[in-house]
Amino acid sequence: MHSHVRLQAIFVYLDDLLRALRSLKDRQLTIHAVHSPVPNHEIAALMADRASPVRYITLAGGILGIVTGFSLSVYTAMQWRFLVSGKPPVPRVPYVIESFEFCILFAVLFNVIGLLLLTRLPRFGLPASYDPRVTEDRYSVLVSCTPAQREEISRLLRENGAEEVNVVS
Amino acid sequence: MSYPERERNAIIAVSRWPGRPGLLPLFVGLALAGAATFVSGVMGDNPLRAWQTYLINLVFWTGLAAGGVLFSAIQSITHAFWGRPLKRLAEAPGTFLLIAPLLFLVLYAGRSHIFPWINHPVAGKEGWLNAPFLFLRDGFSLLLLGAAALSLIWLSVRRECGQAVAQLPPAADTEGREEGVVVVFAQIYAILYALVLSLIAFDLVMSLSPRWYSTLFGAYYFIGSFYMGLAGLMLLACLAVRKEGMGRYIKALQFQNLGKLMLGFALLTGDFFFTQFLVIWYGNLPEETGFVILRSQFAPWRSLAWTVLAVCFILPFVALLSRRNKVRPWAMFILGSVILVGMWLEKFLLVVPSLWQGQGLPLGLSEVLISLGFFGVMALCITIFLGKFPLLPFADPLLRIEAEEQSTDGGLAR
Repeated sequence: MHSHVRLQAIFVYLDDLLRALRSLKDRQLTIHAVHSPVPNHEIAALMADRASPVRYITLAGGILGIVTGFSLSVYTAMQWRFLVSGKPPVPRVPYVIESFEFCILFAVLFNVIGLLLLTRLPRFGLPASYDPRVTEDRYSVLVSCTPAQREEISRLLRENGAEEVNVVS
Repeated sequence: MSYPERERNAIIAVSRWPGRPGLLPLFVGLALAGAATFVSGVMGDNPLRAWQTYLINLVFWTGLAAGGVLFSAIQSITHAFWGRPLKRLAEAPGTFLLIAPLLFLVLYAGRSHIFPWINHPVAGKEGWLNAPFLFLRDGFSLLLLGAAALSLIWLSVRRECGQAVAQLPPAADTEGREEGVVVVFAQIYAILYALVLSLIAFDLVMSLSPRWYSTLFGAYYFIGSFYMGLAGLMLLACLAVRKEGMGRYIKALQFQNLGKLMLGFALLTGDFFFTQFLVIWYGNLPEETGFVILRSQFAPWRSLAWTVLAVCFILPFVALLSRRNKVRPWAMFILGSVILVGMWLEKFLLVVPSLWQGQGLPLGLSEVLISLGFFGVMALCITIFLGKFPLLPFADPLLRIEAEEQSTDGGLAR
């Protein structure tokens, strides 16, 4: 038996949703997901309690790119001996460009891979809590609480303007 | 609909700059001390030292002032909402451009010390590099830039002149007409900014090594000037939020966006340096490499060159990556100050090695005092301007629309 229940509330208005999110956060409840038909900064700001670790993965990719770009350039110059008049056999100045390009390339690739891994994508089925109305004109919030809190949280959501509140498995 | 009641009261509360009465005499004192040091330096044994410091400060503070006004112009051109509360602060250093042509004319007295091509004319360049023509074109250009900046500032402040917050007409009535005129002037200013600052860079900095040339040098200077303008604006924003109630308008969003712009222009300034450096390195032409080799390979300039790279590029790049740093006013105040000191040293590195023949770095008390004198003049311009005009451009239609839309949410949130 689950020790928590998951409640899904549907909202028509953004202001109601934001007020409900603030109330839920004040009670320190776990908000699993908020669905919105359009991207919204205020929802994102409310949900951003902790920054995504994908930035560290991106940074690691960028640093690895710099090392790879520079090493590859040095290795190529050593192997093929591109001797140019007046320049050292392994010139460092132009390698900044290769390092920079690899930095961007690896950072982008690592970012995309990190994003896919952390969000567990691709998903080949919709979660049980997904309501197709959120792609039209509704907002939804998925929150978990203890069975004892169920009534109180349902009332709280309705008081903040929820159109309906459902228990999802 | 105009400002809601709550907004009106908040605006009236923050409409004046939080300056202390003792500051004006302090700034006047600094300006006079700088002027006295400069005059005694010019009359002393080594007038070159005073003149080169004067030139460094002229290009530094003129660039900073022009860069600040450019921020305001960009806000208007792009119809941006977020930076409206910062607009007046960005315009404040622009008043320095009113006296920049006069300060430039002072250089005429020291022209033979500063411009090596006066005593040793460069064959084939006499048509461009001659003192009367240089002072005429640069003086006229600075006047033109100053006039454009002051017109833009005037268009901005005149909306608040004689207007009470409560009696403003609805923003929608005035937005199109007034803002359209401001946008046209902002575009004119932005074009003049690029042209005039390029000319100043070529004439007042590049011509000090008259055989050296880099076609990108003008752009390098005006991009760097905008970077300085942003750093200066950050300092003013950090000071402004100390006033009670101003934090309602200059919020984390403004700090974060300004920090992002600073990061972008730290990268762009670094990029423009590297773009010139790479081409010079590859071409390996003696007339091009001499300028770079002197500054990057020989004492005492070499250590200074690395310091400038670290302070103007590496440190801001690392510090500004963090979102948390960008929204901490005290951290941004320190970083903005460090960037401005670094950019001053960068001007020093561009100017002095071309002129100075003595041993060691000519960087001592007289340089600090003359620079503090210029700082005093800039601080006076800012303090007088912000004391005379409201700190918040409350009649700006875009700020008002924002306030009207966000009035239920307790402030400007976009």
